[in-house]
Amino acid sequence: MSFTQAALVAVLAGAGTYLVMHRTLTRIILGLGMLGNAVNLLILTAGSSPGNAPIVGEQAPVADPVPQALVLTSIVITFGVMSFLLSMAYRGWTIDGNDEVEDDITDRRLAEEPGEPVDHGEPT
Amino acid sequence: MSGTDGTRRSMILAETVNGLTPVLLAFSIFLTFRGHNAPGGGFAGGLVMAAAVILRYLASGPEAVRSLRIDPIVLIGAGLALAALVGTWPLLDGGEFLESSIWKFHPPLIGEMKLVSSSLFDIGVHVLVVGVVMAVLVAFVEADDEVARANAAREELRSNAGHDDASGDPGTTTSGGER
Amino acid sequence: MIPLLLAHLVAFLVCLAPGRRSARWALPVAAAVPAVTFGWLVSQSSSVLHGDVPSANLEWVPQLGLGISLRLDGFGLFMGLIVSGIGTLVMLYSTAYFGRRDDLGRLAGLLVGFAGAMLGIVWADGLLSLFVFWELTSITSFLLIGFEDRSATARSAAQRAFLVTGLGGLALLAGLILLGIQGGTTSLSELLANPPSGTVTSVALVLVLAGAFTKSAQFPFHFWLPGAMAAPTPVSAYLHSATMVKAGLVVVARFAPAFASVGPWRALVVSAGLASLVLGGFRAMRQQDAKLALAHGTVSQLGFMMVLLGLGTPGTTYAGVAMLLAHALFKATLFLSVGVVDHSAGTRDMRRLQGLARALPITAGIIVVASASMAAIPPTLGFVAKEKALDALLDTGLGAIGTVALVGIVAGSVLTVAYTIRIAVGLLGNDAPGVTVEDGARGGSGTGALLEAPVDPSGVHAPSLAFQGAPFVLAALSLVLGIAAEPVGHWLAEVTVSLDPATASKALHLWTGVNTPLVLSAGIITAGIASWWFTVAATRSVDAPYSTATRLYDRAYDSLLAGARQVTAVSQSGSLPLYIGVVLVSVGAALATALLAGSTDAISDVPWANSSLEVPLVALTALLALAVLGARQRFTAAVLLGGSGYMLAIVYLLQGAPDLAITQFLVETLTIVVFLLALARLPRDFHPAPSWAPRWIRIVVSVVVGLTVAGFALGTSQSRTAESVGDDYLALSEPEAGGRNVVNVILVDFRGFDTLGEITVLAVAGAGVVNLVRAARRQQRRKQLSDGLEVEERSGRPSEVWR
Repeated sequence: MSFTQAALVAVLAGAGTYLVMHRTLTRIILGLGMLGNAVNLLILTAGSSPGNAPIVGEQAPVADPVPQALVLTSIVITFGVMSFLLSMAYRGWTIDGNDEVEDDITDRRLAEEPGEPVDHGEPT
Repeated sequence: MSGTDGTRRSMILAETVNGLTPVLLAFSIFLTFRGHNAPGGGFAGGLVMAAAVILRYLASGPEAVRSLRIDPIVLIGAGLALAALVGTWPLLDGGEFLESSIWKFHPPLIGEMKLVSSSLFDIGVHVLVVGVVMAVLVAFVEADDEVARANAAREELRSNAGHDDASGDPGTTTSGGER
Repeated sequence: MIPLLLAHLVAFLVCLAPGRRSARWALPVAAAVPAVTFGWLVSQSSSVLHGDVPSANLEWVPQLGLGISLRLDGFGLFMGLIVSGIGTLVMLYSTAYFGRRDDLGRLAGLLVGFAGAMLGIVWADGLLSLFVFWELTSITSFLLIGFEDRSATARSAAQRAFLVTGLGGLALLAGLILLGIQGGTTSLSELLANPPSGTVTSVALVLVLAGAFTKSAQFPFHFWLPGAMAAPTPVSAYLHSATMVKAGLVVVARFAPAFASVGPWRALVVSAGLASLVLGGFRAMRQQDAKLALAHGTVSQLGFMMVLLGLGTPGTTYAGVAMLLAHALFKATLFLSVGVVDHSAGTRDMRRLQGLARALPITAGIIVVASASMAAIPPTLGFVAKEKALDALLDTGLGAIGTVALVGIVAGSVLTVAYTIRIAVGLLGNDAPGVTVEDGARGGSGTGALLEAPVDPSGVHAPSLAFQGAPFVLAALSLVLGIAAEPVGHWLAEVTVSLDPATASKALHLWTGVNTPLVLSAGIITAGIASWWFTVAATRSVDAPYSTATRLYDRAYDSLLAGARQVTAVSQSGSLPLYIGVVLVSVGAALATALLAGSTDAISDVPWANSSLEVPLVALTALLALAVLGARQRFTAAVLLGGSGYMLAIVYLLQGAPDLAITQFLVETLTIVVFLLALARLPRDFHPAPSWAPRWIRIVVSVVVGLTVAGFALGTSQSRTAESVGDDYLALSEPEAGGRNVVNVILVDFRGFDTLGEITVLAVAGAGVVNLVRAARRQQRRKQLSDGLEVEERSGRPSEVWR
């Protein structure tokens, strides 16, 4: 791993973090994609040194195939999850007319309500 | 970008896609099979095939997807089942889960041909990826249909009720694509 | 033994099966199981007492020594006889007590289930088995105390009992695990044969004692037991006087001979035991409900036995076991008799009961015999056992602690005599004052008006003989076993040998001649009668005060709930961005900690760039990513993200990962298309939503997270200590799996199981999308079919949907 690659990991992770802390679901999904890219790059570059493709017969140095196999499935899964979230955002928008994540009103109400007194029954 | 609202569609795009589709399908299958020995594999192959389906949708509209008459959930299930079966098969032979078997053939003319059981696993992955992408596509198509149906129902109710002032519906004639 | 426990389990399930339907057969069926157990134990007794110890094992995780492991030694046989014998009698008594009720199936099931769990405790040899059965009795006790589930009092009392004994159970578990580690065994018998010592052992023993004190209702955990009297009377008789509350004593009795001299053991058992003895005695003097008075008496008696069994000398152990038997017999008798009185006279309030000695002569006789045993008046078993206890305490050889125990027990015994007379007279006496308003905390401001008149003895109906059968048998045993002290003592000596071999020579005698214990006993009885006589007027009108311990417990419970509510209000604000921010900051903090803890020397070897192409490529990727943050329009943002992804594909290619590059390229393309599909309908611009935090905080969080993740990546890349398995995969790829592309071979072969899991995740996401659509379609159709009006109403404001 080089410092240049580490810098890219920093930018992608930071930008992804900034995006997921929004209220707009579209931005959150974009941020998740960005975080996915950051982590994929991290696993690939931290796990192996650059080299030729890990195919039998290639000249040394050959890159480590293990992180590549890990990241490959991760890329596809990130895609599946993002698609799922997008179709959910779309559904939510057709119902609500926006794709913003509102604060959960139930949580607010629970926090404001006083607790019900517990009935301990007759003294013993 | 077009919905069901009948906005113009490029004839040239449609024709190009029609010509491209068989090429893309062949390429996707090639990618999957070649994956065992060179870059490619079931994930990449499946994504290419899914791209072909999406291209047809973009060019010819939802009819292109509907005319396939394939339930994406069937593709997903079939792909997963195939991959799992390939994994279980060696168990019957006393092997380990997902152990590879290598069969060699000597068909005339071609010389030696090698078939590895894990290629079947990759085919399962391929089919599943196509299914997942199609599921997402169908989700949006259906959602468009739903909106269209709601509009139709709304229009009908309004005409039945004799509302003729249009003050309440500035949006119904607006296409989503123009935003 | 395991078939017997299974029979209890089957009976438990069979009795619960009818649910709310009437099941009059349930109690007799349930009673048959402990009856069979009793018979089996009797048949085994001679061989067991001659040293032949049957055992049974059901292995679960043998590597950890986990499983059910049982062992029937002399003491297990003795306790098993009490549990199954009294269990049978109580269940038969219950058929008369409850008459016709719809929930008898539940009652019978819980009782027989409890009996099985209790047998498990007394037979357990595995430390885990002991804990499991211990908790099972806590659970069945909870359900039985709360049997009258419509009453808030019963529910609250059940919860109190469960929390106290359940927390004690956890302490016991911790103690047993520590002891198991220290002793290097999970078998109770092996542990006791070779007891470990040291600080850890002392801590473990304190934890074990905490468990025992909660279960046996010892001060300061005593308060749940009087509350447990909300249970039906047969349940109280069985669980909360004769058996379950003895579980703590069983553990103490088994541990004391081996561990009594370790750490604070003796100091703890003596102080807790004596405090319970005296406190319970005083409380019993102040109750007007006979059942509650008996419950406080139980606390007191349990304290007495705790001292005896906990001291761990051969003499006190022997006397303690004799007391266990005597107490189980007389206390169960008294509870069952109070049940009879309650049924016949309609009240247990001693201020209203009068003239019952004549109306219920058999019950009166039973009460007198059992009370005599409780007050240790000859010739009952209680007297014989108490003589033995005083004799043993006079000669403990323990110095000061023995003296303290003796003095405390003599004082407590005076109280015992006093409250015993008070309860017996209260139940059977001739002259009741009635309940007046000024007595009661529940009353108003009246002055001495009669709230409830005394019971008219002529209206008291005599109970059936079947009803009185169980208390009669038990009372008779109290008397007969006392008279037959010599053979009983011989048998008890054989039983207690399994606890402490030195008890073999012990014996019981009804008459020992005039000696110190006899003089002490005479003094105790005299002082007890005097105490009763001088307090009789004062105690007649007191009303039971709300126990301080219960009040403290309830207050702690209420503030726990209030605290939980406050914590929830703070931590569950309902804002998703805030939650995500907290998660990410925690991740950053964890990574930063790992970085700071590790060595940073290796980072000096890191090159600035791997190739000259890398720097401009990375710069472009980063710029595109940062541009996403500034994008005002959804579509622009999506395309910029895609561009950054395409660049990333080239970075992968440079790293030597063509497979990743292909996949990343395809995925980015499809992602853009999917965004296109979705965003075509969404508003073009991002809505400036109100934020949960100022912009600068979000920027700081992002920068910190980005830097720590990158630092972590650098640190990780330099921390490899072992060779990668990748080299093996490279070598094996072609011969083993017939493929040259190692990445693909890993995916479909070497780590194919992982891939199977990963495509399952994909399948779930795909199925989720499909079902989202189908659910929406169903909803739509239902709405169109049934609710045309609502569609019309919604159509009045279509602009909200089509903004």
